[in-house]
Amino acid sequence: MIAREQTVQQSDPVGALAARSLTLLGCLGMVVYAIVMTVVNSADIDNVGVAIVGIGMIVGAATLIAVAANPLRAPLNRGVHIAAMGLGVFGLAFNAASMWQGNAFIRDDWGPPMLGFISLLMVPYRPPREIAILGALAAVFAGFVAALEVGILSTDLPVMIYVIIAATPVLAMSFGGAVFARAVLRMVHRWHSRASSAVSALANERKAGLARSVQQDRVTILNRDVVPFFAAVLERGGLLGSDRTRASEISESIRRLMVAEVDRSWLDLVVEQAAGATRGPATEAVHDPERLAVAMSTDQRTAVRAAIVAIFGHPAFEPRGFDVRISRTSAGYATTIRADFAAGEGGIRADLAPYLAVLRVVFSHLHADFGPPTLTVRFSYDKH
Amino acid sequence: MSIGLPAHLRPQAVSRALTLAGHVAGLVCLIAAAGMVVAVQAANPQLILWPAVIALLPLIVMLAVLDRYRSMFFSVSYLIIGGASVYWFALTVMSEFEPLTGTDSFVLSLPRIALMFVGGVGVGIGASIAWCAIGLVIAEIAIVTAAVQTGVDLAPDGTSLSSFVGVVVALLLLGASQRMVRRAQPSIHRAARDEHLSTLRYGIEAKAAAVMHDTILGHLAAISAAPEGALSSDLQLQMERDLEILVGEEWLTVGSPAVDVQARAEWRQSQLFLAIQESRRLGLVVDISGDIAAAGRLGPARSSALGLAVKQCLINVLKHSGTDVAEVVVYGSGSDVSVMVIDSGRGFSETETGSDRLGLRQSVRRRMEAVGGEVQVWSSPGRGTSVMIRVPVPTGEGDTPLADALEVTL
Repeated sequence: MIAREQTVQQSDPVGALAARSLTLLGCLGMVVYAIVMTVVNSADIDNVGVAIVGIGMIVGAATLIAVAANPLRAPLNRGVHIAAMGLGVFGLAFNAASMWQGNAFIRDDWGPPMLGFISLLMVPYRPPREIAILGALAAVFAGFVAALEVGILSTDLPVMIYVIIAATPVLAMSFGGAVFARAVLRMVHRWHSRASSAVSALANERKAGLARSVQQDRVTILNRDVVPFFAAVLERGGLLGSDRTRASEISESIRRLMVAEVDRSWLDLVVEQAAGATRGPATEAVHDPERLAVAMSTDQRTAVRAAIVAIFGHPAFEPRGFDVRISRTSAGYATTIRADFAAGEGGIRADLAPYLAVLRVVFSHLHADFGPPTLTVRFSYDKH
Repeated sequence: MSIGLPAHLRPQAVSRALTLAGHVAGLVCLIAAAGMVVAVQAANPQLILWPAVIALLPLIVMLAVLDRYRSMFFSVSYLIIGGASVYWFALTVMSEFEPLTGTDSFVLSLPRIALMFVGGVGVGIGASIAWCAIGLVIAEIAIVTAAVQTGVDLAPDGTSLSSFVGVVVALLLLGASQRMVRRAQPSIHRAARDEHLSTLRYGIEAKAAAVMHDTILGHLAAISAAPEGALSSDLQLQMERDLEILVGEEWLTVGSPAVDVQARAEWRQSQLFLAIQESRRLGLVVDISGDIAAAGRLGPARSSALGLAVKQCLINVLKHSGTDVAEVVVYGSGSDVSVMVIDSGRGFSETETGSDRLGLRQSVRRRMEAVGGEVQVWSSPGRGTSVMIRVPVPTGEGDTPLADALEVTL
């Protein structure tokens, strides 16, 4: 499993998934802003070619972020952040170079806000500290480029003014974004600890009831054979030859039942319950001969449970076409969930996207393919 | 489980995080504005620009206060004090600073943006947008008033306006994107809860299975191996107890963790546990079940004898049974502690035992008899072997065997 980072995407995958549309619009906004501001400042530009290269850098950064923010590629890693910021920094440099001789105002250059924008787009995906640090470095660079430009500008103002003008948007957006990410993470953690204690309280409340129901199950089994047998033997006060055979028989049947119970894992029960709640197949849908499902952590079980419940609850789901297979591979345990659907791809993918996003966080190497009518989700995990 | 915020807390969380982020961005703007003033003042000592920096201080202080105490009172105070500060700042800068071309100067955009990020109270995108707008309007009024007084040209400020538009668009999109979360998040939280309960039930079932195994199955095995005729008083007693419990008592009431921890610690120090560990090291798979706490009730001499006897039984399993799996079941009653070592190996017939069964006679039977205990062996070829070792407890303490057995599982 990939090491979990302190990012919104890892702590609140569904929230980060919801932010994806914002990310895409933000990427588009970056490109539009760079083009519009270049056109607005066209009078200042003395090298159109260099200006276009600058815009190209921003198109590259925006494309990179838009692609990497795809939930099926999650998590978005530090390399993407550095690469996007690097492209932004080059974009800023080319933009400044295109107006080297004639820049009237540094404040209407698109470079510095663009770097701040890249920081903001990283808020759902990267740790707050990284957003702040890379943002600060980018601000230093923006200030440095501005200081170089000042020599060319006809101005009496101190260089520091231009440095501040260039660095402020980057710093304000990067630090603001980092604080936003940190606040969300803190609230997720606070909620998590509160929710855990609430679940424990609920569990304590239910414990007695669960114990009673388990006992009831057992007593039902025992009342059938053991209780009458013991009662008869005790009443007689002695053993007959047939009693010994009968004892072995009963013992054998109880053992068989216990073995069958032990062989059923939580995954069998989840599928059974999900199928029971709708219609369709029972546990033969689960192929886990080595009981590898037991090795999943609580988080992983929760994610799988939620996904299976969502699949069975989907109106287009065809219950006959469902199975889960878990097998051992050299790298760990590989799981494949296959589900058939009656409707087209778009709706199903979108409906199940939040559950896939959660699976993506807790498992490594998640692949989801929809070759109608079958959705195939593959992922792997290590021994817990 | 880190599965994120539930839908009902989300608007509050997003709104709070946005406020904090806005305050930090505002602070950066105010520090930048102060930095610009200081830079110009340092380059032009004849100007009296420093009061502009002082003008920003109340704004910075109020921002810090607002960040700490988010309330209507402090939000309104921030806007009022902030409006006055921006006016003072603008007035100083405009009257002292000649190159300032108009009200759209960058140095004036910065406090505008800071006032815009008031954040304010109230949950929801609408409230956030309203506070931003009010902050921006108050800052604009302050700056225009100062401009009118000093004769500086009025010009719309693109920087603060585009910031406002950007914030509004981001807020609207953020609001729209929450719909999917509202749909999916509750079912994920439900899954987390179900998972917890299912784990709990699984634990209780395992406990029930262990209890059933230790009692009913044990006694059934004893019956099938016992000779015809009168029932031994021990077995009769145990069966009666089984019935009482099956019909009546609550089986699976959960013991307090403190008891479990203590019992477990005692168990780990017992000779019985050490004997089992040693045979495990030799390659035997040993399942332990039953009332492990009972082993701790024996004195040192009996505990040691029991440990050595069980070790010998387990070595016999390894050497003779043809299987490498054994079960050790511990029963505790008021007067004694019994340990049963069971294997499902090839078994033997008492009459055919040769000199290699000396271990059982010497190490097990003699040793246990020496401490007042007794040993019973049930075995027949092809049906495995069960050795029951019973040791009396020194004092007559405790008398709840099965109930105890239910409290502690491994």
